[in-house]
Amino acid sequence: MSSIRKNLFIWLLLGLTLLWAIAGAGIYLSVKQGEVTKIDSELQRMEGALRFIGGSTFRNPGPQRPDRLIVRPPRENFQPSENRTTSENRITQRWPDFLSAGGPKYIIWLNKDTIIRQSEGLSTKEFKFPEITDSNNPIFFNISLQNGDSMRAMASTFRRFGFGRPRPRGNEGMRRPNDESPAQNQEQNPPRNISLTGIIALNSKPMEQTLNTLLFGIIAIGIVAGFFSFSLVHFALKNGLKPLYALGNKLASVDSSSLSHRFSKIDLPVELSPICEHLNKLMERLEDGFERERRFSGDLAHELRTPIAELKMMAEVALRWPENNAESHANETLDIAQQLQEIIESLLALNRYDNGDEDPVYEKIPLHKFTKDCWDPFVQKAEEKKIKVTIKISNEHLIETDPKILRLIMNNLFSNAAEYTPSEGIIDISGNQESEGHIISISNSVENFDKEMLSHLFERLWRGDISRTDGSHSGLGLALSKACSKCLGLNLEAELIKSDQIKFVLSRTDIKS
Amino acid sequence: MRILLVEDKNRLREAIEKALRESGYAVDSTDNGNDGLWMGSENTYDIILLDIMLPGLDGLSVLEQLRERDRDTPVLLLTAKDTIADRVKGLRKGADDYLIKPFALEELLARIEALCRRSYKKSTSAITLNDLIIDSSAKTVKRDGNLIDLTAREYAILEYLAMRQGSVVSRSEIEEHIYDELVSPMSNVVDSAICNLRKKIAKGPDDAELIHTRRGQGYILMPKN
Repeated sequence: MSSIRKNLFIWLLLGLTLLWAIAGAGIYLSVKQGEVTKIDSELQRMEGALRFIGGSTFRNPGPQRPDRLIVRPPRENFQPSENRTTSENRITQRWPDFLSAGGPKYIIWLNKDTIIRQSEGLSTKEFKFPEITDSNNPIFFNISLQNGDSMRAMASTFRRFGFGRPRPRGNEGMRRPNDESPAQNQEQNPPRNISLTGIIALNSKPMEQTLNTLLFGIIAIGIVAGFFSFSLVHFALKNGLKPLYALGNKLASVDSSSLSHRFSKIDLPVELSPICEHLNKLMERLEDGFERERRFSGDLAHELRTPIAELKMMAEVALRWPENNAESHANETLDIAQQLQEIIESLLALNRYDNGDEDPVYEKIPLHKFTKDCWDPFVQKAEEKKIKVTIKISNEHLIETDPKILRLIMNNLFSNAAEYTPSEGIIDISGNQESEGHIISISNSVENFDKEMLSHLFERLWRGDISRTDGSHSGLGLALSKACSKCLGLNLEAELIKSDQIKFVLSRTDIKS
Repeated sequence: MRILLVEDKNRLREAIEKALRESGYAVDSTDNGNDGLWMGSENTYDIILLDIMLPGLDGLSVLEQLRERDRDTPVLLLTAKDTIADRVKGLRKGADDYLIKPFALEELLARIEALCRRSYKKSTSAITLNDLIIDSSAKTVKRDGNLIDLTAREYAILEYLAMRQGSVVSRSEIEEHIYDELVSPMSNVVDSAICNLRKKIAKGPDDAELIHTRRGQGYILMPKN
């Protein structure tokens, strides 16, 4: 069985986990990007040093003009000063950490095969000549060294404008190009306007350490957040579903004695309000149903108990104080037995028709003649009460139905009309062929009848006379007519067409629908 | 004892009425609630037997209105409604007892007797006055161990006097409680019935009377001095 709580729990937890993961990844990546940008900026800043080194590799003798060919005598007592501006000093001044031990590694190519300067101990296997298409845009990339270190590198091309041949310069951390084979291969003077390619790389270990620390922190926070999310979701679901459980408990406590109870929407969340409304409507229907059944049971008890009480009392009195009027007692006993028999037969018939146990046998019958035949038993009563009766049915009107069941319906309706139409009232029986699906309608005058009574009219054993004094009726006639109509595929309805006139309409359900 | 029976089913009402009359009760009856309320309010009854489902005014409304009019006559509800809720409702409206149809005649009579005893604050069905014993259950009277043969009316008068022994009972009270509306009570009817009673319950011509006459007031059943 699926569980809302379980589903919500899983989805919320997965959602939160995903959210936390995205947030952690976002933080990690943005910090990483920041660090990379920082190191790239540093590389860009140090590119100047690379250019400087590249430029200083070739000696610039200056313009060779005759007027400048003045041989100056050496200065006396000249001592090289530490403050003298050398290439190294200039580099140290401008890029203080360039020449430090943890400083960048670099390599400068004259062309693909000629390295003019490089950091000491640098392997050309790791620093390969880069293919740079756009000299204005340096390219950045990562390099993994053979010793396991990784570096962030920037490759760029730059031009060296100058004259003459390159002047070899020696420095710590720098080498003369002619010390190594690449320089030795360069026998001829380099061109005055040359393009150099260089790579400068910084150790990215500190950045990686920072990122690793960050990753560890994110994972640790993620685990804590996971536990927090688990507790939060659990608590939220427990509290969120509390009203649903409360409603369920209230519903579980409903029994036949508490059907009048209605669920209050005041304490319920908005989402449960529609459910609450539907439940209240269901309760209303159940209450109506139970009330109807209770009424039926009570009425049935009255209808059966009263004649039995009469029989019993009469028998006991007759036995205790015997009389001569045995014939009168016998007649009364017979009447009571007849009354009981009618009730029981009606109940059984009602049950049969309600359950569809009767199979109608259809045949075509002339409605006018059939209606007249059905009305005949009530003519005398109508005349006694001076009721004005009108039958408006065409002689040619034929209907296909089960005459036995239709007669039962009509007998009940006509009996009802003759019984409850007041003196000098009217009864109209009409078979309107023009109205689609209409079979017959019977309208008659009524007294003291209202809409509330109309709603109970077809209930089993319901009677307008609450005291149920008259023993000649049991209140099953209309309920039986309704069940018979259903059995024939017809619909029997009643409406108050005036405050003192009721109309029963028998029509076909298939046409109506 | 005079009983009002309000029941709308003619056959049942007539049978109960006959049984009660044969048992020595004076019975007035009606088939609707409005008349029942009027009769219960205007006349003095020892017990009212009331159906609940009545035309006009239902039994519970009759009961309610009787209690509102300070009529504390014991009411026995006779009804086909058998649910606990119906019984509780009836008893709470002021009924003294509740009997569900169909019922046994013996049970009805026993409940009526019980209500009469309760009404006159007697705990048993036997009323004793010296050597006179009146058994309201068996409807018999014995004096000194000998059964006295009384008519139903004579027994009813004696039982009524015994129920109120020590108190003066006026002639009109006897008429109200013993004679129903079918009998036109005349003063000499009560007097002659009392006279006959005295003769029947006396052990001999010289025996002191148990039923005493209080001139201008009525009769009193008192033990011999």
